Amino acid sequence: MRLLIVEDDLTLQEQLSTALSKNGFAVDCAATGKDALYFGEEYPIDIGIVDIGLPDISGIDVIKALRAKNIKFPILILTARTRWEEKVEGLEAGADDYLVKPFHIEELLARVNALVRRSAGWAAPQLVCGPIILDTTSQQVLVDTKPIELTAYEYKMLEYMMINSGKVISKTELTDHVYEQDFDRDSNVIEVFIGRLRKKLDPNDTHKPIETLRGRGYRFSIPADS
Amino acid sequence: MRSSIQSRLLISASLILCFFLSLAGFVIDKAYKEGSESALRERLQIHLYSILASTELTKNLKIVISSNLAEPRFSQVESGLMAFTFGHSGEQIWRTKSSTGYSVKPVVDMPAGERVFIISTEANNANYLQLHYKAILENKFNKTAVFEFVIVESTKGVDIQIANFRSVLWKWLGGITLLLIIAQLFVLKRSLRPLHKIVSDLEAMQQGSRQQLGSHYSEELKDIAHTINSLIVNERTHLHRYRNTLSDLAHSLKTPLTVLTGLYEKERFNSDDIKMLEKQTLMMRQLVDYQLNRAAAKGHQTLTESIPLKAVVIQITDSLDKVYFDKSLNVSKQLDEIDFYAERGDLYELFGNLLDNAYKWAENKVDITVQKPTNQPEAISGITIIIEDDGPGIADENLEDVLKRGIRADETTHGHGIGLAVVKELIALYGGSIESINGELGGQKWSIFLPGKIK
Repeated sequence: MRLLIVEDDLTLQEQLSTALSKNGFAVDCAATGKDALYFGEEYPIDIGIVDIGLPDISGIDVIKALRAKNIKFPILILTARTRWEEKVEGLEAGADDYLVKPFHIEELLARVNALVRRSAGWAAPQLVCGPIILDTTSQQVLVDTKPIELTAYEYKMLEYMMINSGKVISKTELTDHVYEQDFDRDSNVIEVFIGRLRKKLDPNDTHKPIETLRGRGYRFSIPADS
Repeated sequence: MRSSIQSRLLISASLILCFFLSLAGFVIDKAYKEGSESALRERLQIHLYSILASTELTKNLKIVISSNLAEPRFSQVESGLMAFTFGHSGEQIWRTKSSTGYSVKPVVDMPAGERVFIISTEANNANYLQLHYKAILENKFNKTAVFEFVIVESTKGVDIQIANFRSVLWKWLGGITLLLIIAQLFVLKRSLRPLHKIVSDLEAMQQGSRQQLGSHYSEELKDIAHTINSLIVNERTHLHRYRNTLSDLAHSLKTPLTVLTGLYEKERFNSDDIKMLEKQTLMMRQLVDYQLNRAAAKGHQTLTESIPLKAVVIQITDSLDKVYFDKSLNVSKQLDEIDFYAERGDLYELFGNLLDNAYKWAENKVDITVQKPTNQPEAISGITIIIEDDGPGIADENLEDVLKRGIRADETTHGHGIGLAVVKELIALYGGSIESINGELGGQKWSIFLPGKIK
């Protein structure tokens, strides 16, 4: 999942970026409201974390501007202010959740995961597609109740595909949502990852969870359990 | 420099007074002058009629005027009243003795039976009013002839009369104006005395010799004095609270800081030290949040606007619906249309904290009621807020602790644990009450009464 951090404090930005990257997110960072608007408008962001107190444009105005342009990815606001009037103002501007500074990184991860699930229409922290279960909290994947080992990129790719199960996902879309901005984009790498995922998820080739649609991309074909 | 209210009023009123009195003087003067001139014209006509009455036309169409005219001034030289008679072709036929040294020209082309008044100015700047009349006279033999009779009177007498009247008129009007201005000054001084009094009392307060304004002002100023007093009390209360907050904060932060300072001496931290670090920093965070919220609470304000409670509650529940989206709670709202006079931020804190707790703990259902109180005497105005959830609720033995700052009934849910303590502080600030009662939903039910003006 591609995540945008908008935070002007570079130490906190780096801390958040490291923690979220470690947890399977492709992270882009912006330190100003102007950069945030650029990223939000130009890149396929899946979720945003926006600090309200930015040096140029306030975080609230950034959210308002993005929502005005019909950009709908979920946004979590970070604020140092504990007053309810300010929290309500942020949520009314178009944010989906708030977190008051200082916070534990675990709490931030839990909120971000909840927002990602919510945006995909999942209520529980586990994504279940037939025999495949992906736990967004523990980042564990079970196939037929047995845990399997995935690399960080394999996990990201699987999560994105399961969230969008049934939809056709092009290689470019997959690259955009799984890799950070500056990553070397080689479509062959995607094919290699898909091959590995197929082997790990379906070693006996019984479920066939990932379909290849020639010239169009891939589709996670096992529907989500409701 | 800006002039005082008194001088502004006095100057404006005086200017208006001078304008209207001058206008009145001008009108009276004009009316008197026209009256005098009209009287002079009347007199000239009367003289004309008396001369016509003393005139006779002879058989050979000559006129004979009695030398014994009724008005003696016709016989006195330089009396200022003169009479002349001219023949058909404008030749002078007769003149009175008084006309010595004065000459008059006839109006030859005037039709018979007409009369005209002419004002002439002589070389010595003396003005004369002339009445020219062309009369057709008839003798006993029914023969007629046309003659022009001219009566002249000096306007000197009338001019002197008008000048005297004018002098008296303007003297009186000037005197009246002066008296009215003095009376106005007196009225203004008396009317503005309460303002001067309030200003001097405010100056005394600035110098520290007074604490508040009194209640001995006029009806119009009583409300202002009351508002200023309330503002002063509010300002002092806030200052007092800020000072206490800062002092409390400074003192309460010292304990965790001392514990943390003790950790410096260690070269490596073990797991207990890390727990200690976490516990102390959490405590510091809670203290800062609690004291900041406490300092920000305003309470009943002197100049607050009325806040529509329904809109505030809906704004907050809309926000919480987003935050607790996953819980898919069934939130029912019974909100009366009430506008409550309170500080907006205080209401957001009150409803925000109470509703956040309800959403946080509820399993399925949250009930919110905001209404006019049903169990308070009519004289006490205010609002009742009832918020109920179907969560685990708070055990009676824990209620006191929950309402104290920084203690949470359950440490496992996120939040800083100061919400309910802030709510309690706010309610106390407004002189209201909060109680935990047994609800129908089986969870926590808070019933709050906030006294205050409603609309």
